[in-house]
Amino acid sequence: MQIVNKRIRKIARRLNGPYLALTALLIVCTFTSEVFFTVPNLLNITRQVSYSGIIALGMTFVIVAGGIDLSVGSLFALAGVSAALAIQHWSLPLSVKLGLSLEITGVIIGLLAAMLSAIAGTVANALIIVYGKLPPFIATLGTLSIFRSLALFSAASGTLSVDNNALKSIGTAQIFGIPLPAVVMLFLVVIFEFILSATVFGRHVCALGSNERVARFAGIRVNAVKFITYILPGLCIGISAFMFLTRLGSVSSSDAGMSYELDAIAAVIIGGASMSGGRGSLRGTLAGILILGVVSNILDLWGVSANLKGVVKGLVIIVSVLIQRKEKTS
Amino acid sequence: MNETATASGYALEINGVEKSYGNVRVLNGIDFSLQKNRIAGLVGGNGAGKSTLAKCIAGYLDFEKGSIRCDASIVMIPQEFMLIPEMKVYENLFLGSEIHKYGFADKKEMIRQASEALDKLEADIDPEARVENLGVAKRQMVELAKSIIFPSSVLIMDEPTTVLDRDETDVLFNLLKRYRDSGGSVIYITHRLYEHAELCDDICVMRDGDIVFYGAANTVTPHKVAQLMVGKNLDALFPEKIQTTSDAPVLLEIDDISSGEVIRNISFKLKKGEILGLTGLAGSGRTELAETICGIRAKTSGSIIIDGESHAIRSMYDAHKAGLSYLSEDRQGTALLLDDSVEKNTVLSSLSQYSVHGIINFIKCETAAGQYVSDFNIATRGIDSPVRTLSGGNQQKVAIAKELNTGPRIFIFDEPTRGVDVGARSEIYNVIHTLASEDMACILISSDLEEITGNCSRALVMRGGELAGELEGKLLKEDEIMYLATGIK
Repeated sequence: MQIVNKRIRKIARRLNGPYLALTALLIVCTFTSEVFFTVPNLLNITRQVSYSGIIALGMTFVIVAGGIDLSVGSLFALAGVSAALAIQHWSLPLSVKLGLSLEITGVIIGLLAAMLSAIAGTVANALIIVYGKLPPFIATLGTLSIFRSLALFSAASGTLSVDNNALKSIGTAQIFGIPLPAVVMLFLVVIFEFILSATVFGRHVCALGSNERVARFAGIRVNAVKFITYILPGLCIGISAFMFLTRLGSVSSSDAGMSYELDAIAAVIIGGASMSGGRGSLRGTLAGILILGVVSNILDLWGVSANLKGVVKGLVIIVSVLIQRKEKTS
Repeated sequence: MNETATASGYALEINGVEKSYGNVRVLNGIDFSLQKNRIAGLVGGNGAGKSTLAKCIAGYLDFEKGSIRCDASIVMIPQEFMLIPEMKVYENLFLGSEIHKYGFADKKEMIRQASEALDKLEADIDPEARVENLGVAKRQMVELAKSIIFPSSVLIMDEPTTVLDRDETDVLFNLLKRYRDSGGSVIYITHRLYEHAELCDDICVMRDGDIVFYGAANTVTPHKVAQLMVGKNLDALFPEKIQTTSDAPVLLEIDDISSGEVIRNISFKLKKGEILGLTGLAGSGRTELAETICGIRAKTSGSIIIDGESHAIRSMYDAHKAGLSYLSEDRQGTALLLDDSVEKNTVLSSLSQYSVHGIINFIKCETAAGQYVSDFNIATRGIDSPVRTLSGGNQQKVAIAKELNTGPRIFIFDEPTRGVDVGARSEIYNVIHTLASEDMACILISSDLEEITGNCSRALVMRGGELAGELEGKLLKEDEIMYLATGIK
């Protein structure tokens, strides 16, 4: 019983920073805008943050392992385009072959195509980083350009639409009134948090991020751990890109996933992870995601020019890291 | 906080200095005066406060009470090097005080002064070499060269010889004596007791934040100093040697292994119950041999046979599976995650044992860590404390526990007592002997010859990446080892 108590206290202590900031932010927003603290608006925020938020969860592992993935935004577009193309071209022939309805086939093909292309992309990243021994920053800077270009080429730099009612119903689906993407994101937070904090793999990711040499000398299969870590964002991108497609019914090869890498990295950092690796948590990242979402939303409600949003977002990142550094040194 | 001293004849005067970290008092009112032209040895166990005192004197740390008066400038050469690996030797030496002409760096002059200083140290180092390409011993020499280029009246050295071999140590000692004779004073921190007799004029013994003895070095024997350090009568430092019978089974057989040019054609056998010494000068390939056996360094030929079975070992993961454990000489860089807790470090190498289907059993981890803390007498506030907060000796015990957790049959200890005080040293020796007597076999790598002769009944001596010879029984003496290591014999 005592051990359980201690553990709860430990978790409570760790929650502090980002969640205190989020609470303060929520209070300020509630008092400065009448619309803010209403159910439709809050649900709207959760949906808006979910797409890049889900990616931030995979990014958390990469950053805790001491790496970075800059290619997630481009890969998001490529996965979306792949899914749309697959649905357009293969729905009809496959539905005949499998004897399923056209719409269900479209859903299955879309999800598969998004997942497979996203995972293939991150496998490419992992191969370059683990076996090519390139710094992740450079490897994924390269693939950032490659993935976006492939997306633009496949879609002839245009927007691809899919007309499928089953997809549409997934896009608007809610579970207990909460939009599906937000539910998926929360579900993944719980699963990933468990993996990072309570499994051997998670512990090895942390060890790798704090000191790769120590990890190697401890007999950890560093390459295998790294490989899996770099593939995790792909899993998230596949899910996120598919849900994005179902929501809009279309995907723009040039705009989709634009600057998602920055949003994802920002959320992880605001959530208290260390950029040099070894430290970070999924609940922290969730707070980071929500802080970014709330700030963006309240600026809209205050009527601030959309062009100035970047200034505020940038300040949030800088200030939150400054505060965390103070906490660490004191 | 340092004030200029009056013409008192002392190079340094310290009055009632107190210092705490949080609630832990580490210095309780230290009074200490260093005479001019003297070398004072500062000794004490882990956590006695030596390094803290030195850092206060050098101005790296603030203290709450008391005063420090000093004649002139103080230079401290810290235990952890403050060199930038990517920069060249001379660039490091003049970092922050570059010589310049018309606003441009005067490279020639800096290189000239750097090579002059390095020549005085008899160090064979190119001023234009990059520090990252130098071994630890040479890096130490570079640190030392700083004190020659920028003259000071008090020089503080924190355990300089832990990374030096005998020859380099001699050069250092001569240099320090010359420095003293030319008017300087030295505070010399070390764990090696015989060094005091050899080098120091005065000895200052610290224990638990107090000075318990301060006087001329020739008035105390090393044995007495050791007793003062631990505050009780010290049993013999080394446990009784284990006599391995000649018919004990061979546990490990190294057959003609090489690793490029670094390790060449080495073969030896290790018997069950044996503690085999492995020594040689700095750069002779001791650590590299251990790394090759454990698969950290790529093996280019040869085979490793454990219990009659040949093993292909390509990484530490394979080594652990084959029953091999390795305690690295670079504790902080390769053995421990300093910001992680004692508990996390203890189970780091063996998490699969503490998990079911990849999910960690935290209660099992805590129990195991608690067990090691009490078995090994690890001084820590709790298993949740970051390893960084532990003293060197206690960190080493955590590192040993971490490796032991993998259930090895063969344990390679590489410099297990580097930066470890007398008390913990003796405990570590006891652990090694206990392991060997429990059907395991150990290899003890050390540059401390006393450590080899005190613990082992057989030792291998390396020179230039090759096996220079093997010494056993009565022939295993410090001078014999030195002959082999240097190639006189």
